[in-house]
Amino acid sequence: MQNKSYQLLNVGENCIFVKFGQEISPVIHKKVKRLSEYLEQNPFPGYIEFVATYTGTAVNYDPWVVKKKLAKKGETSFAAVGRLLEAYVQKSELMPETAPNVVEIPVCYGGEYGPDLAYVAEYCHLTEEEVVKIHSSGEYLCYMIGFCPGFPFLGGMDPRIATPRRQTPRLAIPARSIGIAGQQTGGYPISTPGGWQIIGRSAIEMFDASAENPTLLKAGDIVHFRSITPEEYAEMRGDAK
Amino acid sequence: MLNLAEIQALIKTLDNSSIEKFEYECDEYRLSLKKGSSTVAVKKAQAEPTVEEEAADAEEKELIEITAPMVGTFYSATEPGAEPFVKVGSKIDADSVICILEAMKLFTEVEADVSGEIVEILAKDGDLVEYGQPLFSVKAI
Amino acid sequence: MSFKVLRPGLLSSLQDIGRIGYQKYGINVSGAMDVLSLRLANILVGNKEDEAALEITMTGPTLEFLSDTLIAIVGANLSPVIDGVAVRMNRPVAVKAGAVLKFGACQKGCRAYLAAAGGYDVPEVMGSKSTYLRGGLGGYQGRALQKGDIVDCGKPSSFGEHTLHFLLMKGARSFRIANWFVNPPHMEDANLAAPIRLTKGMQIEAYKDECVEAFLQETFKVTTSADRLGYRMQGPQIELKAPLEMISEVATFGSVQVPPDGNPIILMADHQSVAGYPKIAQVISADLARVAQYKPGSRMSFRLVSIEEAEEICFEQERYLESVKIAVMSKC
Repeated sequence: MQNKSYQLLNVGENCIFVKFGQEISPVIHKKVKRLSEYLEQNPFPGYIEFVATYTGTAVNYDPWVVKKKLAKKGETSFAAVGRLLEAYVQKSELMPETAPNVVEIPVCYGGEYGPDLAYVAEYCHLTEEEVVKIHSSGEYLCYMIGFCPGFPFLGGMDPRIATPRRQTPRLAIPARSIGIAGQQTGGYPISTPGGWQIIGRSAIEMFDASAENPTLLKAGDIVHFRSITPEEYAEMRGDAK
Repeated sequence: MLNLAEIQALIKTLDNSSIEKFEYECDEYRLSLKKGSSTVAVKKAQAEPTVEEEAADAEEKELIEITAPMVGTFYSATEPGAEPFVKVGSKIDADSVICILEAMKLFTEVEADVSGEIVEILAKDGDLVEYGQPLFSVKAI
Repeated sequence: MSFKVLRPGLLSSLQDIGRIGYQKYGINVSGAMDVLSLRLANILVGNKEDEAALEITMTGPTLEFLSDTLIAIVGANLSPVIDGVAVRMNRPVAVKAGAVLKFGACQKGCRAYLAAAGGYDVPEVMGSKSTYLRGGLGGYQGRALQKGDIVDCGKPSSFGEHTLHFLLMKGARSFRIANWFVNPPHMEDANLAAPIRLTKGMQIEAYKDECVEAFLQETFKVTTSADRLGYRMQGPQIELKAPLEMISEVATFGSVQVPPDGNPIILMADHQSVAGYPKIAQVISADLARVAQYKPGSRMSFRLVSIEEAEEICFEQERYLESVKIAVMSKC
């Protein structure tokens, strides 16, 4: 199942990966996002869910349901889903461009919320204020959510503030910490161990299991960070820490 | 009639001796104890032995058949390679599981519903048996 | 219906068939490691197949039943005993209030599933009762059971109610087993020990031919780092032809990925939705139940099958479950 612009690859007998390219790029991302949206709006019999990644969209399905309700007589389930996905890719390309969701995250940089800001500044030969200015004036594309609940893979960070991961990871990074690891920036919605350089903390929740949309960010969102003072942070957090 | 304590004392004495078999008969009853036996037989003394002996013999000859309560595949043990539930000579009572019948992926343990001793096993592992088909021959004891 | 945890066992957590539809939020699917045993246990007590059951790992808990409950235990034989009497598995069991269920030696397999008629009465989080242990989500308060926990069960189906009363009426000191049972095919000795079947992974071509050969011919040991997230395996080193710059891509339950140290990892129920290591193979969905029954220290071998074969084996398992369900329902 080959095509100039994409490939259909089996990931076991219950998943097909629609691969649009080989690298991290906004162009590939657009295709991933469109197919993911089209799938959400047009679930097929046996469809379970999609997983968006940098290079393509994985489509999870139940081959037994596909066999009973989608496949033609004598057709394997993976052939049936492949056939359908070829049509879906074409149709998703015709979908109107939707304006991406823009999310602004208020961040209190430095001090107790950003213990590694000083190190990042020193490493990049900048002042802490300069690091904050560069970080908070960037426009970031959320390529995908994965690794842990609500964890965004953000692209587009200014290389001037790129800093390698910490030599020794922390055992527990506080929830909502905003950090840098190499060329990537992002945030930890929940407390987990990790090796990112923590430069600030978001005043708003990034993950809430009980909410209808459990995560602040989704694949395809555009993210801005806004610098706030510790007083503003305290006010926004209220009683919550 | 000997009471329980007396019978227990007798059994203990027998156990500690080299006597294999002990029988005692009086007007009212006959007591029979045999070493290695799991039962102690106490029978009422026979006044007219001939007739009652014949009756006893006739009773012994009558065999009960345990039949299949459903259609299914017969298995003598809980799983391949395991010890069969019963063998020829096994003593069973109403609650004893004697075999398994499998149908539609479900395995049903068949209970004897009678007491006695297995005389013959009439089906073998893997046989497809019908409802009512004889599976075991049992002699009442 | 409910029970109290007197001792929690090694790792006892509520799992259903998984939290479906939230991987796009980075939320793991979780769910039972051996879904086949879970579904069978539920069928035996008249529950919906995807209801939550208690997943019991190697060393089982001690549970005191606070009310009459119909249960079924399917999967590993962890020597279940109620008030000193061995309980047969793979069938409905009516347990009386006050009875205490304990587990003993791990005789076969690794994980057993305790289903209760009516399921478990815990809140659904994002549509599922599965416990995502690392994330502290779902199941019983987002964690494994602890001493003192009281777990409530839901309302049984009419099959569950009927079977409970029918069995108790036959007379029970502490419990009464049904006189019929199922024989889960994956737990039969010959099947359990057979090679685990896999389909080709997306990056299989990137591995050295002799390493792929070794992967399919030699046995691997399940290391002690084998848990709900993944099974780290130890055996012949699996090496790439050339260094591969991998960017995070999709990972599923059953993906066999190989990190730079050359030791394959089989991703299991708590796998993350994306992973950064190349994938050599995918365990077929029907054999995940068997993998879940291998303990640390045991040895496993692999066999490659086509996607078509993998589908057929999956269908066979589904047909088996459907026929069991029909047979059990006809017992009503």
